[in-house]
Amino acid sequence: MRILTDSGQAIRPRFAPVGECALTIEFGEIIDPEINRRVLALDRAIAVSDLPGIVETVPTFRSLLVVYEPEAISYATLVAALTAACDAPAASRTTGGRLWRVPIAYDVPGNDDFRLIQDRTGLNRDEVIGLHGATELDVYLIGFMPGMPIMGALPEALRVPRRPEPLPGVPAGRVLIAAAQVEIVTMTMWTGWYCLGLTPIRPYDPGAPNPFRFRAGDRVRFQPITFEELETLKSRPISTFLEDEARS
Amino acid sequence: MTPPVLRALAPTPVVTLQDAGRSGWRRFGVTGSGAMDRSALALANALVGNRTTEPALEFAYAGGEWLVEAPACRIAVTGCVAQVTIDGVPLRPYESALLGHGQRLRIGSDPGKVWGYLAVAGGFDAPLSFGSRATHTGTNIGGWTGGTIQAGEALPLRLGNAAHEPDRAIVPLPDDEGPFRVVLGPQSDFLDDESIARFLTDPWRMTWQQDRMAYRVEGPTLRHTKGFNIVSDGVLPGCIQIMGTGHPLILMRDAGTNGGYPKIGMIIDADLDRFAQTRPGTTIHFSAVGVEEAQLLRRRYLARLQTMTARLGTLPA
Repeated sequence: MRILTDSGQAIRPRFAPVGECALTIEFGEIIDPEINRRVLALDRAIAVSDLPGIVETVPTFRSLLVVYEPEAISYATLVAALTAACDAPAASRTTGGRLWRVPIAYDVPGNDDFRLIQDRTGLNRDEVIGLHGATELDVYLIGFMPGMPIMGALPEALRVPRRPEPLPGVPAGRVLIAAAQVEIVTMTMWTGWYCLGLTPIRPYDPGAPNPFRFRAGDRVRFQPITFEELETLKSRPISTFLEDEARS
Repeated sequence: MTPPVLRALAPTPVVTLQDAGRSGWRRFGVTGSGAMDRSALALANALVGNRTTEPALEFAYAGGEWLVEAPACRIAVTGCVAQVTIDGVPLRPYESALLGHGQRLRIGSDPGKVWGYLAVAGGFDAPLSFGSRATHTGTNIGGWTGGTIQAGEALPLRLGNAAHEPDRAIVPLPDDEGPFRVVLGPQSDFLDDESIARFLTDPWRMTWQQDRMAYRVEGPTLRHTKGFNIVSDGVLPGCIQIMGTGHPLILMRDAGTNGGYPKIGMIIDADLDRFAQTRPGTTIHFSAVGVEEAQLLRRRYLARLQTMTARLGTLPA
């Protein structure tokens, strides 16, 4: 069975060593929802398998990093087992993840980026908000900073290239966009992405029993709120922004 | 009675608490951290009778000055060991020592190494964060504060029965020499054949740009065949990224979980401690090994470490 990406390319996994204690399985070289679904399906297949010696797995946009103990499993055995897991029909498709309704305030005093996004895309305020809210996004991976969800894909009309130079000191709660991707900042960091708005949601809560609230494979819809509503929504438990908690 | 502490009188700038690092959290954006030289950490712990993965203070080049505010505290220093004194009296390298209340430990610089470790018998009493006490300053995780140790800070100790045990000494085995061995991939196909050949044959020089996140080496400019932007994927300590400038950036223990430059290869686990300890200005070489050979070398590295801790002797009281 050949699986095609949204852009029509065939997906054939490529295995490569990452040193002697890890390997990567690349499903493609581009950011693509179908490629990412294959990554997450293999990740899940490994999680429920009884493969020995797996230390951890790290799903990314288009590849899965598998860290293993070479004393417990050989490279050849692991590649054979993972090849079989990639070929299994069950691994080719995944069911939809949980749906988050993420509030976002677009009209934020002092956020010049919102104006820059309008200039770069040629869209007006309402068009930017309308397009962003109408798009259901997939969480491709959690990474770069603790608990930070990175999502896609934005419609073509809303895509802006990243800044030539990154900026420091971008705090938690900023919703950033660059190219087809969206992310929610979880702690102060440098970024070359543009700030679309602010959310009261904190996907990383270092004090909580489960500090990481988003998972790769989750789906996200943004919902406009006013700047004044931000503060009141901050006290609401994050789970109440999940569409159907039974699915968690 | 006041709880036993080690007081940081004059710590050097990048002292952090480190253990063998954390695993299982990269999928949530939390990196591994842990000691830059895991064998030096293991030896420091062995010298004071701890499990080899117990947390210890890690410092760069020199450790600064420390004051014991505990009835008795057995310590050991490894890595940068050239100028260690207790109340001004030199401590012989790779020997443990018992310090009483009010005694001062001073760790000066060592011209041969980059990282040093200060272990205490019983261990430092710090909370677990994601299964480890290793500090990652970039994301404020681990240690006591998520940051570097500041002057005046009092570090809580777990002393146990340390005072009743003997002092110990280790004769460390000489370091491996020769090139740093690399498993090529996963994106060596982003570089042309001549660049890979030069990477493996030309001399490289360690630069001063070395910290817990990454090391830079100087040498020939390598050529990418199909650009230098890959869609970011998972990275690990030892990954050799070739940046847009054609120069290598070698990721170390505190590097983030993802990276977007092509990776020509990965320094093998058995050579990463030694690479971390290589001083700026040193000329080095890289050589290629296969996965199976690297795994054999890793088993030898682990066995060598066990041999070393087994050669631990007790000193007369």
